[in-house]
Amino acid sequence: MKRNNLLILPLMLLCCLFFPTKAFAATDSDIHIEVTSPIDSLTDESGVVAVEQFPAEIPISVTASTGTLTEIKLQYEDGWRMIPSEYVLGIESKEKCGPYTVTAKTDEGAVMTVTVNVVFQVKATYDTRYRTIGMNITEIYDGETQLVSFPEPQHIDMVNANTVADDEQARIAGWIGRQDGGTYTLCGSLVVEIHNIANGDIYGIYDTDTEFEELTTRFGWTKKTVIAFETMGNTELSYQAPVPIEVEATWCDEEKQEIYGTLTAQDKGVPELLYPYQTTSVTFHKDDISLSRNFSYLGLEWDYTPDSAEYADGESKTQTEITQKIHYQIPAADFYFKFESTKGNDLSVVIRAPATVNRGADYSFTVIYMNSGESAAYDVPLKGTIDEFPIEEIPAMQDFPPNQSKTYTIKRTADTAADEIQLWANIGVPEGFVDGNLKNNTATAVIKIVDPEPEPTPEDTPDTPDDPDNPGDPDNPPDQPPDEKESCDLLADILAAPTVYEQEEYSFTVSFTNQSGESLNNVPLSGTNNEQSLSEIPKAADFAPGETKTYTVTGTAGSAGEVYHLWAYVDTPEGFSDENPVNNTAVTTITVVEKPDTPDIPDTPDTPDDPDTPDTPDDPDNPDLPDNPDDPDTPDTPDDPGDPIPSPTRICDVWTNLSTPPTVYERDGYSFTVYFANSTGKTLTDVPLSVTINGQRVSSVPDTASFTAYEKKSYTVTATAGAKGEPLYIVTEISPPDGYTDENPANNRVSAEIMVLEKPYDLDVQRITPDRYKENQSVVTTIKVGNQGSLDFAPGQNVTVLFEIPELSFSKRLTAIVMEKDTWNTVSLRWDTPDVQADKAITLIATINPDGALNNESTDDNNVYTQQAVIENIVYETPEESQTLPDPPQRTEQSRVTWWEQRYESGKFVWHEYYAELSVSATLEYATKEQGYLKSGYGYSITVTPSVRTNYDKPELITAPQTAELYLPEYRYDTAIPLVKEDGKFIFAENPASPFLYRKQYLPLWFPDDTDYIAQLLVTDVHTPGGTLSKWLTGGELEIRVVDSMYSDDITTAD
Amino acid sequence: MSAGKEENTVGNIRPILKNRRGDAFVFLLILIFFILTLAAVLMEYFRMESLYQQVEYVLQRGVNSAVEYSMRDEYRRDGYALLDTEEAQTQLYAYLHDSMGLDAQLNKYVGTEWNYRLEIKEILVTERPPRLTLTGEIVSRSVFSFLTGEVRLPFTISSVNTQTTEGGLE
Repeated sequence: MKRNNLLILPLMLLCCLFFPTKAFAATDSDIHIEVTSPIDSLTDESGVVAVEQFPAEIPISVTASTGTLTEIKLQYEDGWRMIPSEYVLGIESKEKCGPYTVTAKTDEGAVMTVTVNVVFQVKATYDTRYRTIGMNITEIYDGETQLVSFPEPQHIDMVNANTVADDEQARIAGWIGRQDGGTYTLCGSLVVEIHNIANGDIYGIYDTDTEFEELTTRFGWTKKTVIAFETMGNTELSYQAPVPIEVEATWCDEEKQEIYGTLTAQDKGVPELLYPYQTTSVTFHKDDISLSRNFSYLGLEWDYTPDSAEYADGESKTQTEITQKIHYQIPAADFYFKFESTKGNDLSVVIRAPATVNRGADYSFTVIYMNSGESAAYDVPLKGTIDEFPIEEIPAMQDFPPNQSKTYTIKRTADTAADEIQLWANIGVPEGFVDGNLKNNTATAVIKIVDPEPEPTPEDTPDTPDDPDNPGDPDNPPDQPPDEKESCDLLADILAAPTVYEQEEYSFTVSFTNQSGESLNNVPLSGTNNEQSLSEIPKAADFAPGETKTYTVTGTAGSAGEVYHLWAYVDTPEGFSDENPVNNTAVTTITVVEKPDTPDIPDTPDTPDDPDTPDTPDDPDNPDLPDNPDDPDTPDTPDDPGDPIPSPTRICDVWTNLSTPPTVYERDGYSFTVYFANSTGKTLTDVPLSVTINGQRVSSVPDTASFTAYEKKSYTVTATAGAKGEPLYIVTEISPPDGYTDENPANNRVSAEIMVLEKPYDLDVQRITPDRYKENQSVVTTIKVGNQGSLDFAPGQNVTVLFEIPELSFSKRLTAIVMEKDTWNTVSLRWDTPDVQADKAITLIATINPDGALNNESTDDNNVYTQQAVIENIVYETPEESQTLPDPPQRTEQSRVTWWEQRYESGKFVWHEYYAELSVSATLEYATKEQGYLKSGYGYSITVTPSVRTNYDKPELITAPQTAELYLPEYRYDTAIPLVKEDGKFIFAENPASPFLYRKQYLPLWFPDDTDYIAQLLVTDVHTPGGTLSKWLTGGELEIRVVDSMYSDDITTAD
Repeated sequence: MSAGKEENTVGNIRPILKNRRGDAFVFLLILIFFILTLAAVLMEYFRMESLYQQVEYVLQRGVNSAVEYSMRDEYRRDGYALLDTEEAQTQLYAYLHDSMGLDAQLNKYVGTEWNYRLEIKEILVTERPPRLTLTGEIVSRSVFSFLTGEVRLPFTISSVNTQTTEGGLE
């Protein structure tokens, strides 16, 4: 223990040397005051310095580490003087000893005050000595004002008879109790301890002021020592109180009502309390608190309390950062970074789902998240569930540009036991965003599950794995082109009078025509009147070649001014393609007009309408309703056609109307039907007709025509549309013939506008295959692209696919891709995989129409397809021999692949089926092959000759075989022996086990005699657009009869 | 020796035999001594010869075994005969100690009785042709050792490996 103590003591001493006490010293001070006497010194603090003789010189050095010194004042007794930064204080006699106060200021606002007590001390010569151990404080002054007077002197410890101990700081601060930046003076006297230097005895502790007599008379001090005690009776210390710093920045809205965050100067490293001798600064930036990108920055405002000329309030719209210098006289400062939320937009979500789905069948639905408005929405949270399970395809958060939607098509299988599937989607409101309508932020849908009837025919079989139209399965390459659809041409027409009298019955005829020579079954039909489905039209009908089916719809007109928008549509049945889909839709309108009061004819004054027979054809007020409305083409002969109401002015009513498609495609042929009718019960001749398209008269419609009573004539006009965006104005007109007056001229002229559109199309990327590659190979990647729409893409239209692998900085453009409308095609490219040290994950990205050159896509959301893939690090393990000989395992191979590609040849789209086939021959060579056996222990070599046959016209996209591996019985056919390729053939690599590096594999010595050694060979990595070819060979040429061993081929004898 | 001289010798012996002074007894003693000595010499000779044959036979087996064992299979399967010379010597010594029961100084004891000692003068091993030649002496003692000292029987034993079929050529 004693030895340990001996070691600990010097160690503690060493620690004390390394960490000397800086008692009461001002830390982080801008100003440094150093007072040095011949005996000791003070640095940046009040304390005691001693001199041992008179006169003595005490240098005072004042420096500023921040800013520039502006004033240095030295105060003694009742006088003061300005001193330079380097000053020498002369002490000529004991009377000059006492407290000196140095006050220094900088232009940065820092002030430091220290009090130096100069005392006289005597060199010790005798054993009885004194040492200064502290100071007794009796009073504390704030300037001239006494702040505290202690009834009993308060003792504070001093270190080295020089400085106040650090732990006394808190006591002194407590006595003063202020945090106002003021300077306070602590008055008192030094306390000494009398001790014997020889034996360590302590004789007593004495206050050099109050116990001066006892101190100076008991110990036989020398005269000089008494003088020293005299200089210690009046001492002072300076204390500078700190001030709290109140500087704060707030992130808020413009009205400072909503607070998004606050930061104080202390958060930026500024201390809570700042002493007068310290200065600092703090900088706030608007990005110090990260707010949502939905907030817009409005500007900065600063407020001081109280404000002054030096500290004035203000604001800036552009300033994003502010720096505040801080010293002990700064007022409270508040900075406000103002932001504005995004307003005026509406976030909404819609689910489009089928109403029913067969149990066990695949189904899909679409969730559309929308940001309607002129502003972007950032970090918008999206959610979706199927039966309360989250939908993984929907990302948790998305950014939305202005007026943009994001659509997610979810595919699932209805494999639930429940009777319905609950769909739920929600678009959240991100921070800093004000949603104009919160009611549409959640959407729900229910899909009823129907238990399907037993499958009646094999045709109902769902997608087979070989179905090329199943792009969701990357392992399901497109084997077959889309079925060739038979051509047909269906036509929809609406025959209706353009006007109808209010409150009267009216009728119109919807006709659907099969203009092709094919019988069409189950043709979907539909029609609406102001979007109300017409029940008279069945949902589907069968059509014989050339057959027209007509449906008459009747109704009662409403009030004048109403307009009935009629719409008819015939869809193309399954398995057929409509040559001219534009005319599958027909639209027209009927306007309800006020029933005119037929002017009285003087000779035949109005007969009051007979309410019992309102519809007689004799009634000129009702020209549209012949007696037999079911057969408008052969109206009943009026009661007395030959004897119309005599009218000297010869009244008639003729009308015209149009049945047009609502839209046509640019530079495409189209047709519409013009109807002219005579609703008068008399024959009209030379009735002027006119049809114009954009002011050009249509020549196929005659200028005049004759009409029998109640005859209707129709003319089908065909023409070719111009450029997109230039609408077609069609005007048809009929005039009463000479000598006739039309009683209802409002229906003599009809016009229609047909919009000319670009053919719609939607290019998409559906699949990238394969998703696994081996390192260091030439590989082929195949991209399946689709063209959903009505526009063919021939080579001149330059459909481009950009293929990228960001991890490899690889990109390649595939141009001039051709696709017939509503079909797909595959494009392939060849690239080289790099060396990898471990399996490397890569991202295959294919973008169709990357530059947006084809700018009329209905959506470009599906233009980019991303496939995660892996480049495998190929490592051949060292095989482990096993004397258990298994039979060669069955292997699966793909020695032939076929695929389809679409080409454009001689102006037509043609599907080609291509194939690639791998064949392999291999032989084992060994010395005794002619004898038909090989002794175990000896080696054999191999020669593998692969060949690939193909009819593909791009042979560069079919790689040569790149891998051949041999699987051997001694390795249980588990571990591959890689072969190397030389001159197009695979052989063994140099065997390091052979001293001559022969390219051989050796039969194990233990291999049993009279047994067949059967090797298995795999040749693969022939990459083609249709997949990777592989071929296995087992036995045959890869078989060796093993007899005896190599040990029987030598002998050791005496020499 | 001519017939005349034989007669003289027999004639010389005959008087001795007929001599009645006891010379015949002495002569007989000498004769018996001679015969016994000769028999002892012969017996010792054949004992030594037998020992030599046995040791040589056993050594030949050991040398053959060392060569056979130390032929390098990796060369052998490539049709090339190559001897691992270090392994051959190791195998030879292992044979001497383990199979022949020689001690570290190559002494052979039968029970506790020293029998012989092998003193190997030279072991010559060549990789190709794969051959090991052992040269040395068998040191033993005979009943005449007090006259002749230790008996040293030199030997040279060699073994070579020969391939009969070249099944491993490339």
